[in-house]
Amino acid sequence: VSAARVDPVERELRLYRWLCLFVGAIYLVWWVAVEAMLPDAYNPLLGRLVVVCAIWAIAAATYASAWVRAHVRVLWTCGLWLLTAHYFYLFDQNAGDTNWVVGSFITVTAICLAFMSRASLLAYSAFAAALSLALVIELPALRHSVFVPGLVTVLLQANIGLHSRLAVLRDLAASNDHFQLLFDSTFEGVLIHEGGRIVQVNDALLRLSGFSRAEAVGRDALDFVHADDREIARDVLTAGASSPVELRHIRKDGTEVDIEVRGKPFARGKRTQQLVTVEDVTERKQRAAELQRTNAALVRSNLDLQRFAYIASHDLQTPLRGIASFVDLLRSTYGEQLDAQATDWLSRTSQSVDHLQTLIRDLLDYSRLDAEPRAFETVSMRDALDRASGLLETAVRDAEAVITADELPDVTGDRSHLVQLLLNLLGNAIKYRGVAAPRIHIAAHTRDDHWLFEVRDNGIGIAPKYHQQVFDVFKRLHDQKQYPGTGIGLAICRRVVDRHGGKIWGESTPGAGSTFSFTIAKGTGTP
Amino acid sequence: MNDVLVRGWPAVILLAEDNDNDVELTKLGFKRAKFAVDLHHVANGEECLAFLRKEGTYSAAPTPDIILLDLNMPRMDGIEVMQELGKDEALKHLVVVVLTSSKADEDVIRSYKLRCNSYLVKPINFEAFAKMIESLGDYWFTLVTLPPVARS
Repeated sequence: VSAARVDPVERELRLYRWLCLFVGAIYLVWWVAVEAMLPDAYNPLLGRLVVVCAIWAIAAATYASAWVRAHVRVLWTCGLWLLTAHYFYLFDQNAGDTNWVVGSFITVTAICLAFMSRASLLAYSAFAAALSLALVIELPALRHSVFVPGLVTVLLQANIGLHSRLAVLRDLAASNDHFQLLFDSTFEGVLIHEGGRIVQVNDALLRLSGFSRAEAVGRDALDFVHADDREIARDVLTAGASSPVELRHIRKDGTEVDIEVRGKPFARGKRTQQLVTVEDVTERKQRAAELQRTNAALVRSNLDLQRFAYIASHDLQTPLRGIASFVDLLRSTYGEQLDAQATDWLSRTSQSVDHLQTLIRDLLDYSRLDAEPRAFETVSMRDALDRASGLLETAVRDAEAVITADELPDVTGDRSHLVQLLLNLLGNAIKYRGVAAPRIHIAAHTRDDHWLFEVRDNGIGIAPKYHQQVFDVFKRLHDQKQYPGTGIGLAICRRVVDRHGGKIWGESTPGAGSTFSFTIAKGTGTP
Repeated sequence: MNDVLVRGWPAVILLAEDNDNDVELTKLGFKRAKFAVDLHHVANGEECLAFLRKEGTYSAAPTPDIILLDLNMPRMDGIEVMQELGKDEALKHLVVVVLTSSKADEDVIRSYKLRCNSYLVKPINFEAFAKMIESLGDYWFTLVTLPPVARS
């Protein structure tokens, strides 16, 4: 199969152009030969030029006119008839004395005829036969000379016609091979059916089903479908399906296989057939089921984890309260009897208990975020900011902090969580302040599908390598003496932002302040 | 003795609490606050109801002026106890003060829906706890008029 195939219409057109040139040229050469050999013969140059120009004009017009290109066969036949008629006229004018004139026109035209369509070939043969008959009847002396070239004509026609038809058949076979190769080498199974009866199947489908081509072709396509799915299959076979339809196919060995089929009708001649593609989806279905199982397990383990964190931190409080209270009692009741060392140890115990208490409380807050999901509502970020800064009133006053903000939009979310988010970010900005009084600015920008908020401060900043880590649970960058805390604030922030379909990140230059940015999805999101 | 007496005799308190430490601390809290109380202790909800209904070993039990009820208890928790009390015509007038370590919104709401009289969260250290017990006594034993109790 050749890769670059010339369009057959284009090839035929080119052939006609060459024939026009060739036949016209021969006809002119013939004029010269007749003039040389039979100077007294009737052989007008003008008449020949008219015929030649007419034939060449057809060739020239194929370049200019689409109509001529489309009707080139008809026009070419007309040209040949013109040529033949002119020969007949010449023959008549020369009183039947020029045998070779007759022979020549038949020989030349025979070559041309071989390439013509069957209909025009028949029409021309009838015309030539009638002409020959007329010559034979009227001029018995020419009988032999006309018959011999006439016979040659017929033989040539038959031979060349057959030859060209064979070429066409070869082309057709090659093209069919090419189609079959493509048909069989697709990964999808393909079948062609007419009214449910299978006309053609490809190798991929035979491999999938285990049947041989002989077993499949000619049978009802529904025979190969699971009994319960036949109704759906019938719909696909009659109406077609542009989106995949799931069915069960019964293999030759009786096993079931999940398939997806699509169908598309097409016209083949006057009949309507349908192309159906078949895809084996067993593996895909298995993968999907597996994914679903993994997902369910993940959801379950995540829920377990949340419950665990909640219950653990909740239950841890009881023994802790016991320790704290009895240490307290010990100190208040027996304080005077204890020496300095014992008092110090007791106060260290108290401090540790306090710290543990804070850790547990924060962990409880963190696990509660997911344990108590609430419906989203419209929340004014301005109000949320006011509430958060209200809760920080003492800290703001003590640090002489100044909090400013752009005009803040309304978002869809969980009010108390958003307040918590701002509270933690503002709290951090105040807590990790530099020498100067804290200046905190909250900016808001609108983006395509989300809001972008920035909380900018002039605090101590964060080294670049910690920009991501600070969002991890219990990740701290300072010791308890420098900045007491548990390292849960930003983890809570990340969780809140996650639940609002956003992202949170920090940018900072150590010593020059930090900017924490977070996004919140627009629209009516749900937790 | 300058301990505060309620209606001329010590207030009867029923503490439903499974944690021994908390029982001890509550006793110490009343002692510190100088309230004369007759404190009875049960370790779970079932015992609590048996005490109130004077069933079994509790046939001689007094009717408490106040029930201090922990929520998180084995066998029958505080919420279930309150549900039972609500259904019992003879007991539904009793004063129930929830005393728990749970700060969960859900627990608070559920308790008030079951008509508890107060909801108190146990503080972390003893000083705060003692103070809370003192305030509790001040309120319930001096300000509030408690439902009358038949004394034998």
